[in-house]
Formats: sequence, C-alpha cells, structure tokens
Amino acid sequence: MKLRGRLALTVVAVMVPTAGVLLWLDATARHDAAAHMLTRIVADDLPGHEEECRATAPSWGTGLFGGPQKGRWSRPPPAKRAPPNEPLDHLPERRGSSPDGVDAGPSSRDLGPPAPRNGLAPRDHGPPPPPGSGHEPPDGPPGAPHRPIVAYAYDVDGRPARQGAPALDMAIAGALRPGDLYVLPWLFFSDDVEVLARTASADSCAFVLVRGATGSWGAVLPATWLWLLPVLLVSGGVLYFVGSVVERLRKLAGEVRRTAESGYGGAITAQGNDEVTELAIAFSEASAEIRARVIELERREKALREFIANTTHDVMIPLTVLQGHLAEGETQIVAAREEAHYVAALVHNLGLAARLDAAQPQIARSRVDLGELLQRVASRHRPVANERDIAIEVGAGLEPLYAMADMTLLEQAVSNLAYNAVRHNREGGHVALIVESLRGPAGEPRFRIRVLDDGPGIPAEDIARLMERGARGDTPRGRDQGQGIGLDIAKRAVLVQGFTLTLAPGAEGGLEADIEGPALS
Amino acid sequence: MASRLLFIEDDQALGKQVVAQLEKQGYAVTWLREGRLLDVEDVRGVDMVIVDLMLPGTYGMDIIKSLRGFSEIPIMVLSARVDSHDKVRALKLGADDYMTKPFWPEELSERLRARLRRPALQRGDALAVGVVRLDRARREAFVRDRLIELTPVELGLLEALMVRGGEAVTRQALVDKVLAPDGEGGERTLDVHVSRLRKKLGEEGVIETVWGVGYRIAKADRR
Repeated sequence: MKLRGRLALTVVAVMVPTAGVLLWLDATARHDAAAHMLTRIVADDLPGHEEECRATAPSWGTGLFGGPQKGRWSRPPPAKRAPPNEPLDHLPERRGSSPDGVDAGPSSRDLGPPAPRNGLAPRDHGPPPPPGSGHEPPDGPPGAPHRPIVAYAYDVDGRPARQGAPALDMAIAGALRPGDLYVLPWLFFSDDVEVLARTASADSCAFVLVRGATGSWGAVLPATWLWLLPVLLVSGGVLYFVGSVVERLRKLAGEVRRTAESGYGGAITAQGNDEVTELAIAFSEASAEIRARVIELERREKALREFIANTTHDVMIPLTVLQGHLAEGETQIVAAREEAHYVAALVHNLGLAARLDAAQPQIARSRVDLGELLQRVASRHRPVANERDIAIEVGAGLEPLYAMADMTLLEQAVSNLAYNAVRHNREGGHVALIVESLRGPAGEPRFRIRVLDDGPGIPAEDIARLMERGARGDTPRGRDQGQGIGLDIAKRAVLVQGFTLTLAPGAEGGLEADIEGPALS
Repeated sequence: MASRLLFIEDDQALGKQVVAQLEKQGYAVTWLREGRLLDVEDVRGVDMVIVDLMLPGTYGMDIIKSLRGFSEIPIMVLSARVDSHDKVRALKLGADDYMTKPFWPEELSERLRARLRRPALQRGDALAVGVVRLDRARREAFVRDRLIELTPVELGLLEALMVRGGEAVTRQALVDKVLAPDGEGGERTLDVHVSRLRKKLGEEGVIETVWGVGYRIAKADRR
C-alpha cells in the first residue's frame, strides 16, 4: 500500500475510536449530570407534592417539575438541595455499562426551580452542565423536541395509578425505604433519566417514578458538531503535509531510477533541510561511488580491449607476410598454409571473444550488403579451399539484400561457419554460401544466410551438444581444435545482434548452418 | 592495359610483398610508404587506391576523407582491427570495400578484380556475360552473335542470370522472379526451363549448375 493511503487509513483508524470514546464519555457525563439534577429536583420538590399525589393519583404527574426559563440554566436554590437525611452521594445508583450508550436525543430540559403546577417543563437547547458549573451552554440543534419531566405514582405493590405508566421493578422498589431515591440504570440509546422515590405514605402514592431526559450534547463535547471541524482540519493538515513529503520521496525515487538508467551519471538534486534531503544526499553519494567504480571498470575493460586490438594488429601483419610467403611455396607447404589460415582465424576469434565477453558487448550496426559479405568470406577461404579442390560458391538473389548488423561480428560468424565447412570437407567437395530473402510472420522482410557443405556432416544428436559453448563434435570433426571456439564465437556473435543460428543436417549431406534476422526493406 | 593501383602501407615487409604479388598479376603499383593527403596528381590515371588505416603521418581515414573531396576513384581499405567502428567509418567516408588482415594474396587479387570490373555490370540495356549477349530493349539474345529464339520465360530466365554479371543466382530467386508470374512454379519446373534454355544456347557449359546454390552464366569462354 502506498504511503499516502496507509496514512489516511491510520488517521481514520485513530480518529474513529477516539471519537467513539469521546462520545461515550460525553453521554455518560451528560447522563450523570442529568441524573444528579433530577435527583435534586425530586428531593427538593416531591415532599411538597405528595399530598396532591395522593389526592389525584390517576391524573397526577405532568408538569410538576422544572420552570419555563427557556434558554437558560438555573440551579436549584442551595436551600432546596438534597435533604440532609439523604445526601446524594449515598444514593443507591446503578447504571448501564455500555460504552456505546450514546444519547443522540437532541432535546434538553430545564432543570430550573419548581414551576407552577400547571407549567410544563420547557426544553432548553443546551446540554446540562456539569453540576455546579453554572455556565450557560450554547443552544442545541434547532428543532430539537421538548420533553417535560413526568412523574408516575404507584401503590406499595407497584401498581401504577395512571394508565400508560411504565412497569415498576419491584425488586428495586421493594428495597427502598421511605424517603429513599434511586436512579434507575441507564438504558442504552435512550435519553431517559429516571429517578424512583419512596414516599412516606403507604397508599396509591407510595412510589413515584420521575422521568426526565438527558438533553442534547455538551457534557464533555461542545454542543454542536463544530467540534469535528478542528479535528478534520488537523487531519487534513497532517495529510497535506505528509502528502508533500510523499511527493518528494516519489520524486527522489524517480531521480534515483533515472540516474541508475543513465549508468549513475546524473546528479540527484537535494533541496531543503530535512530527512528527505539527507536521503537524497545519501543516494547521491552512493551514486557517485557506483559511478566511480563503473568508470574504473570501463577504463580497465577499454584498456584490455585496446590491448587485444593492438596485439591482434601486431600479429596480423607478420601473419599476412607469412601467408604471402606460403602462397609462393610448393605443394608441401599446403599444410603450413592451412595452419596459418587457422592461426589467423583463431586470432580473429580471440579478438571477438574479448569483445563478446565484455559486460556490455559493443555492437556497431550499419547497413551491410549481405551478398558482398558472403563474397568477402568466400574469397578469404577460397585460397585454402582451392588447395584441396573444394569449391566455395556464393549465391544471392537478383536484388542486393541489406541488414542492420555489426559487419565484423556477422562476417566473422559466417567466416567461422564457412571455415568449418571447408575444413571438415573432403577433397573435391563443395561449400555454398547463400543469402535468401524471406518474409516474416507479419510480412516483414528477413534474411537467411545459409552455409552448406557436402562433407561427412555430424549426427543430428551431436548437433545440440555442438551448440553448447566449448563442446566439440566427435570424429571426424572432433579432431579439429578450432571447432569449439569457432562455432561458439559464431553463435554468440549472431545472438548478440538479435539474429538466430540453427544447425541441421544438410539436404544433400553434410551440414547446413542458417543465420536468420530482419532485413532492410 | 594494366590497371594502375595506388598502395599506401607503412609496413616494409608487407608492402614489399604485396607490391611484388600485385605486379606479378599484372597490376601497375605505386607504393606510398607513409600516410599523406593525396592530391589530384597522385591519383591521375589510377584505377584504385588501397590504403591501410593505421599509418604514421596522416591517418588512413583522413586520406579517404580528403580524397573523396575531389575524386570518385574506388578505395579499398586494409584493416587489422576486429572493431567494426573503423570499417563503418571508412565506408561512410567513401571507401568502397575493406579487407581484414591477414589476407591471402589470392584473396586480395579476387577482391580487386571484383571491384575493378564492377562498373561494367548492368550498364543499360545491353548485357554481356561470357559468350552470351542480351538486348533487353529488343528482347533478343545472342550466343557469339548468333540470334537465339527464346520464349518469354526463357528470356526472363536468361536476363535474371545475366543481371548479376555471371554471379551464381539462387534457385529460390529464379523461381520467384521468373516462374511466379505464370502461377506455376517449383524448382522442378525451373530445372525444365533451364534444360530447354541450355539446348537452345547450343553450347555446353554456358549455363553452369552451382552446387547448393543454383545457376550462373559462365564468365569465361570455354572454347
């Protein structure tokens, strides 16, 4: 995964649980605050309404608590706080333990002082503050529903006085003594806050369940979703900053790649003053080091090539003179001529071997007239072939055929094949060098150079082995010392140019060696 | 008249030997023992220049370059290097052919012969190889000035053999060139046509079979 994607995923992976925990804390604190305030209100106001409850139990309970002060919070007067005999801290409380107890209810309520009995409890849009904070929170989300505080009366057996009242859990209610208040467990996904009170009476108003709502956001988090804005801004900023770093790393990678492609010749730009810059500098230094070593290796390789080329040059001149002398001689010198011819071929092949063994063989392609090339090869071997009455013929089509090739490599390859064809032929035999024009699969022009002989040939099963480097055929060809290197050089000189070399038994006996490649149209 | 050669080679032993061999074959040779830029006088009446590339004084490439500035005379390069760059550069500068050392004297004279007779090839409509003459415009063939009656296919076959100046032509090329338009082909058909052509030409050995290759018109008069 790309760095930027991984970073975005990390931000999401951190933000989502953090937001979840914050919302859970917020909901918990809000419920606690609401429960606390409701408990106080009930503790303060219920005693004054007990008589009324007993008298009008079936209809009693609506609009009892809270005031009409919309838009503001007010705390109950200090004098009306929890009765001294029931300190809030000692209230038996139980609540749910879900971490997900988010109360999305946007409503709020007024926890003001006792309202007139006919007054409904209007909702405030703000969340309840932490107890004792006394501040005025901002409005909640617009359009939040208002829900009044409602009380329900029950007799000692838990039977509700009013229809539609929630069922009472007698396991809890039965444990309460007169004057006790109990905060009912927090239900998940609900903004209800319920306080159960046990009055001193034993009639239809023995228990009073007071239900309020937690209200909207705000115990821990700000009242609106605005709190998300800075979080998103910070996250976006981080992504933007890291994005620029990623961009620089990407550029650096591109530069390193380009430098590598150019043989570590180019420079790597290092801007700025940070870790990415240090990385660029480190790459630059490594590149310079590699470049230095490459230059040194190239220098050595060039020196070696020069040495071989010069040595070859020095050998060739006396060899030419020797050949000249031998040409003047009588028939007993024929063998000496062949050896001189062999030595000349060997020196050429050694020179080419050095070129082909280079790390990157240098191919100097030019437009080569293949018919001319075959003529040159034929005239090179004809003097020695004539001594043994072997005819070397060159055949071509009616039009000259050209290919983009390294003329030295291709000529030496054909020369080696022709040399083998002559050397392993019988007296009175034939060698033919042919260039043919072909069409490739897509109709593109191709050439095929065929070197044929009518000598003893080699068994088909030996041909594959012969194509391996250094392998030499069994008798009669096996006696020849030049077979291995000549064929090997021919093969490599052909392949390095992208051409193909195939050996097969000839149609008229002997061996046929074919070189194929693209021709110029 | 003997062909005149200008030979530029610094190695004494090699130069002396090559000059002797070339003179023995009837060439008139002028030998320059060191490299220098040539002028018009140097090559007046010369049929071909043979130049070694690695010369003291003026480098062989520079000689070729300067020579091509004022003359179209054929140039043969002698090189002892296995590198292709020198050859490619020499050919680009205007050299016509090259030979790699070491070479046999016969090899050199064969290359020289091939180079020197080249301008005579394919000149206009009148082709002549050995004893055969062909007038391409009038579609008439002669053996020793005797007109031979030939079919269009036989004329095409003879022309294909003659445009190469007596070099061997592959069977594939002859089949493609001569027989393909008829829509009937194959090397057997070619052999039949060659057999008929031989009979009509009336002499043995005018059309030679070349082992592994195909056919050619004999360059020499065998009579």
